[in-house]
Amino acid sequence: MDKLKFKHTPAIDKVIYIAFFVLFAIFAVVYLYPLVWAIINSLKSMEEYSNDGLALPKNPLFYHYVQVFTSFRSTGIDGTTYGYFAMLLNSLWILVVNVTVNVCSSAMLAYALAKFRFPGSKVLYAVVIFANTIPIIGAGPAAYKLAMSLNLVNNPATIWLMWASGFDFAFIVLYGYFKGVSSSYSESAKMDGANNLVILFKIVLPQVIPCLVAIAITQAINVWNNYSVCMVYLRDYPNLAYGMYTFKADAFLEKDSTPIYFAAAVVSCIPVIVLYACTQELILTNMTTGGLKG
Amino acid sequence: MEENKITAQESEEEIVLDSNCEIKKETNSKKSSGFSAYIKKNYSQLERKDFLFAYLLVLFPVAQFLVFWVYVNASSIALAFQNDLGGFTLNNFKTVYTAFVDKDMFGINLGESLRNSFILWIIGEGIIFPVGLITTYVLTRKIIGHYIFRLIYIIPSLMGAIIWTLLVRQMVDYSGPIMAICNAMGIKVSDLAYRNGFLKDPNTAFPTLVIIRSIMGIVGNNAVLTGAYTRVPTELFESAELDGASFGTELFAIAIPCIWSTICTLLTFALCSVFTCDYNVYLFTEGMGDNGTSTIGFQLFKLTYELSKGTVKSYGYPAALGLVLTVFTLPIVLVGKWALEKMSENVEV
Repeated sequence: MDKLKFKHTPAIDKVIYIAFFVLFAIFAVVYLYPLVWAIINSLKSMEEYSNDGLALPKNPLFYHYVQVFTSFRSTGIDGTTYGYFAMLLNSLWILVVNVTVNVCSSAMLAYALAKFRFPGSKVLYAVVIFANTIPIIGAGPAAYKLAMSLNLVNNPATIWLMWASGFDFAFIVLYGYFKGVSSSYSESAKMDGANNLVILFKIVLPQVIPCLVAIAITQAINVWNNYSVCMVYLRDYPNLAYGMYTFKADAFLEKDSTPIYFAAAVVSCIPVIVLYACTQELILTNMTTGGLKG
Repeated sequence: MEENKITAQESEEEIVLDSNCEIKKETNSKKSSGFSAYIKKNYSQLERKDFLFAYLLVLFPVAQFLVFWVYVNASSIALAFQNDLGGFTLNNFKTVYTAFVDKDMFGINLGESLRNSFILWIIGEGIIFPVGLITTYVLTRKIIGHYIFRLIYIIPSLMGAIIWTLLVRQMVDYSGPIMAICNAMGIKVSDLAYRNGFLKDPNTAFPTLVIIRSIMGIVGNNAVLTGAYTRVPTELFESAELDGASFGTELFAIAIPCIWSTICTLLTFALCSVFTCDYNVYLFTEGMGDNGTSTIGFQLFKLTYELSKGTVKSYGYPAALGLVLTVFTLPIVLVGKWALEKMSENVEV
C-alpha cells in the first residue's frame, strides 16, 4: 500500500488518524516501559533498586553487564552448573537444529503437496489441515511418556525428532506460497531434461527464499525464547530462556542479584530485537496465509 | 511437471466418473475405488519418477507425524482408560469429575480454570482480535511513525514470554510502578494487594491477567495481518479515495472483505487454542496458578512438568482430562469452522 495521502482524505478521517496516532503513542509507551525499566534498574546497585525501583540511577553501574557473563548461572538436574556461554551455546544449537529441520520439513511437505499430484496427495493434504484445525488437548503427558521410552529425555535428538513437525502453521504459509509460484520455468527446465532435484534447488527454491527466510526468522525468535522444552525435556541442556527462569528464581531468593537479572534480560533480548528490526519488512510482507477475495 | 499434472488430472477425472458410476449403480462402499484406480493405472516412467520424488519429500514429515502426533494422541486416549499398572479403569474420569466439582491434586478447582480459559479466550478473540484487525490496518496505511510503532509493538514477543512476563510481574508487584501510579492518583487498592502486589490478591489477580492479556493480544496477529493487508491492490484504495470513501468504508468494504480468508484461517486456529493456551499463568504465578488465576492450559502444562520431575506419577488423569476437554471442544470447533466457511462464502468485495 502506498503512503497515506491526506489530500483526498475527508476531515473526519484526518481526525480518526490523529486519534489513532495518539493511541499508538500511548501503547508504544506501555510496550516499551518494561524494557526501559529493566535497563534503568540494571544500572543500579541492589541497595538503590530496593530503595526506589522507579527512580533513575544516581551513579549508573555498568559492571552488572560484565557480571552477566560471569555470575549468570543455571543448575541442571545432576547439579551441574551452566554459565552464560554454555547456555548461549545451547540456545544457538537448539535454534539452528530446530529451525533448519522444521523449515525443511514444512517446505518439503508443502512443495510436494502444492506442486505434485500423486496417489494419496489429497488425503495427505486433508490430514494436514485436520491436524492443524482439530484440537487434541492434553497429549503432553503421553508425548513425555513416549520420549521416556525412546530415551529422548535429556537427549539432544529430541529437538530434531519431536519438535520438527512439518504439519504446522509454516506448512499453511508455505503451501500458499508454493501454489503461487509459476510452473512455467519448471516446465521449461523439465523439457530441457532437468530432474526434480535440479528444478527444486535451482528454480523453485530461489523464488521462495523470502518466504523461507521470513518463516525461519519468526521460528528462530520463538525457539530462542522457548523455555518450556528445556524445562521438561532438556534440563541438562539449559538455554538462555530457561536460564532466565531458573536464575530469576534464585535472584529473588538472594536479593543481591536482581539488577544482574535485569542486565541479563537486556543482553538476551537485544540480539533478537536487532534481528527483527533489520528484517521487519521481509517478515511482514511474506508471512501470510489465505488468498485474496475478489 | 505441468504436463504430468494435466495427465494426472485427466486420469483423475476419468476415475471420478468411474467412481461416481459405481456409487450410483451400486453402494457407497466403493468410495475408495479412486485410490485403487490410481494404483491400477499404468503411469509413464516420468510420472513414476515424480511420484517417487514426492514420496521422498513427504517421508520424514509423515513419519514424524505418525509417531509424534498419531501415536501420541492414540496413546493418550488409551492412557485415559488405564490405571498405573496398565489395566482398564474408569477411575481417571472420576478423578476428573472430582477436580471439576471439588479440587484437583494441586488444590485447584477445574471449573474455575475452565471459566478463566473461556473468559481469556473470548476477550482475546471477541474483543482484542477485531481491535488488532483495525490497528494493523491503520499501521499498514503507513500512518506517521508506523515503522517504529510496529517495531515497538513486537518487542514483547521478541523479548519472549519468560523475560516479558517476569518484568511485567515485577511491575504489578507491591513495589512496582503500577502500585506507585495508583498511589499517586489516589486509587484505593486492597491491603492485600498493597502489601503483596496485584497478583497476590484474589480480587485483583485474574483481572490483572485479563488486562495484561488484552494489551499483549492487540499485536498478536500483526505479522500475518500486515502480510495480508499489503497484498490488497493499492488501486482499490486509490479509487475509493478519489470517490471520497471514508476510513470506515475503506476498512469494512474493501480491506477486511479482501483478507477474509486470512481472518477465517486465524480464527480457525484460535478456535483450537481455547484450552491449549496457558496465557503464561505458570510464569505469572511462579507455577502456582493460585488466587483464581488458573487456566486449563496452565493445568495441562503443570501436569506435564510435574510428570517430568516425577512429583506426579499417573499419566491417566491428565490423559482423561485431555480426552474430556477434546470431546467437549470438538463440536464447538466444528460448528465454528462451518460457520466461518459459510461466512466466507457470503462475503463479497
